[in-house]
Amino acid sequence: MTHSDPDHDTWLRFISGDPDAFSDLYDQYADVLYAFGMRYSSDRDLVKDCIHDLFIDLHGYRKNLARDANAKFYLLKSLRRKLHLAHRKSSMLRFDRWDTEDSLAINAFTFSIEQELIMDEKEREILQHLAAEINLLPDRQREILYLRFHQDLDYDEIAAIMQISVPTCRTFVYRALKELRGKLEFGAIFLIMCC
Amino acid sequence: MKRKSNKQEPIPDPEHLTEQERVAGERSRLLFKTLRNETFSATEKDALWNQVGETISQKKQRSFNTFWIAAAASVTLLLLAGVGYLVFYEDSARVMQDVASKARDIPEETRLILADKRSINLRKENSSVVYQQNGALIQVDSSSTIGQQVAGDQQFNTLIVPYGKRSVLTLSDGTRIWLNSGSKLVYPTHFDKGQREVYLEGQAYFAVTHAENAPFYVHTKDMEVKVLGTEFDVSAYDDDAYTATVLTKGSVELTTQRQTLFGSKKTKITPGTRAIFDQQQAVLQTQQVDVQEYVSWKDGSLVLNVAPLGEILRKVMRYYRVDIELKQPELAGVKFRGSLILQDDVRDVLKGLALTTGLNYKQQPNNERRYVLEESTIKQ
Repeated sequence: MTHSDPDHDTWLRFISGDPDAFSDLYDQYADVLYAFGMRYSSDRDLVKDCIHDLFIDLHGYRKNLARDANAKFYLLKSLRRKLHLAHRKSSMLRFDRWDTEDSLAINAFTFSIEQELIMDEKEREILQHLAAEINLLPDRQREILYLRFHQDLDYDEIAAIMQISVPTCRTFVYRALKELRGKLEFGAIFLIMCC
Repeated sequence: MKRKSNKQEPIPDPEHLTEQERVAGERSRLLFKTLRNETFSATEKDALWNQVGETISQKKQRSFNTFWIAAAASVTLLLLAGVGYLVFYEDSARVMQDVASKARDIPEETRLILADKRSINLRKENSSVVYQQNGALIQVDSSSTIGQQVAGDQQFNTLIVPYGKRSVLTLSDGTRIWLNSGSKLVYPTHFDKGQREVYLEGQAYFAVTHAENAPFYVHTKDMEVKVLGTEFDVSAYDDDAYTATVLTKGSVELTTQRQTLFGSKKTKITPGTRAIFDQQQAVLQTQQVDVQEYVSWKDGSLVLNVAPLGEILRKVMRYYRVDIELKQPELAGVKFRGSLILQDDVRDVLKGLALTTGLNYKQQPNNERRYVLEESTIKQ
């Protein structure tokens, strides 16, 4: 688990009814939630509306929230559910798109491989290549990689957020990595040769 | 298709990953640290926070308002219901009682008075009145039909039966009521859902149709009889010192002294029971009786198989609601046999009785319902 203590403190204070904790919670997570929400949608107002609703719910259900929950995980999960509902509602009105699964698609990733961060040019090339390959992966696999590597969630949490089982979740990661490894074979060899 | 392949694949643990896969994972992790996120400005963040705060305070206001409005509304409703219960509930019986008291004079013929003040005289000695089509049509003596408006407020009809006559009334719900002579019944033109109430002065035999959700109330000046569906006789003559109910079948609930708000008593009686409420003592007494004695008047005949004169007179008294005094009490044990056809006028019956027994009868001055039977003073 990735409980960081100050964050969890805010969560506990919020549940206990500390009036300041609610705004602390918002300050801490609003940006994360916004960034997270914009992964699934390109509609800024929709994402804001969902965050708004999420905090209204939090305020209303404060007494019923689990004390030992990971705040970030809980918030991300709730926001994704809200986005999913909104998505489903809007796709019901749109007949030009055939969403057989009506699942929530994650947007293409934009990585900024800064020169200061990764000094090695070859490594940067490999990563750029990898970035392109990641964006070619199926939606679900990309989403898992995002939740695993960017949001630092564990398999249990990812499975809960995506409403899949933990084994399925692991399989998705495994398959994604296998796929990426195959694509990276050339780059890896290139790297080894260089070293 | 994905599902199928899932099952075949082993669950990968980090230790099962090949070196290349692990490297791919590490690289992905590194890459995802550089993921460019959408951000929103501090202004946007503050604006959204303010919106959240606004919504919450609105909700609070609303739920606060809703709570107090709801609370105030329920209190008001309860008060109104309470007042309404007292006012209206009393009313239903009271209004009918008022209607009854307006028709003060006892007519020569059976009379039906409609809500619109029209009054219809029924010439037959034993008339019948049938309400049809939810009270809009009244069939009288199966010969003529009268229409009346039944829309809107509850309106009442009154049926008055003078001495020496009887009437059978069928209400819109199918309930049949035999009205004995010298009786008055007030009833609504049609029954509203869940409420069936009538007001009686005099004697009547009720055959109430069963309606689980609509109890039938018979109000009298001292007693209220509540039934769901059963047969019973109620006797509540103004000039009697008592009100009585005799139950033929089913069960009824009696409420006495309803007017005294806190003194009202409820009593349930079973078939074969006669309940008498004494006005002077204000007590309700019950006793087991031969029901036929009290209700046979409605069928119009009495078959006597070797009956003592005392019993015959009692039955005649009961049937005609008259008082017959036997001047020589020792004659009460003298037995007679035969069939006593209950004619429309008690005087005809008394004439017949006098002839058979060799006694004389006379009517008490100023009272239609008091007679004296005595040995003839003219010795033969």
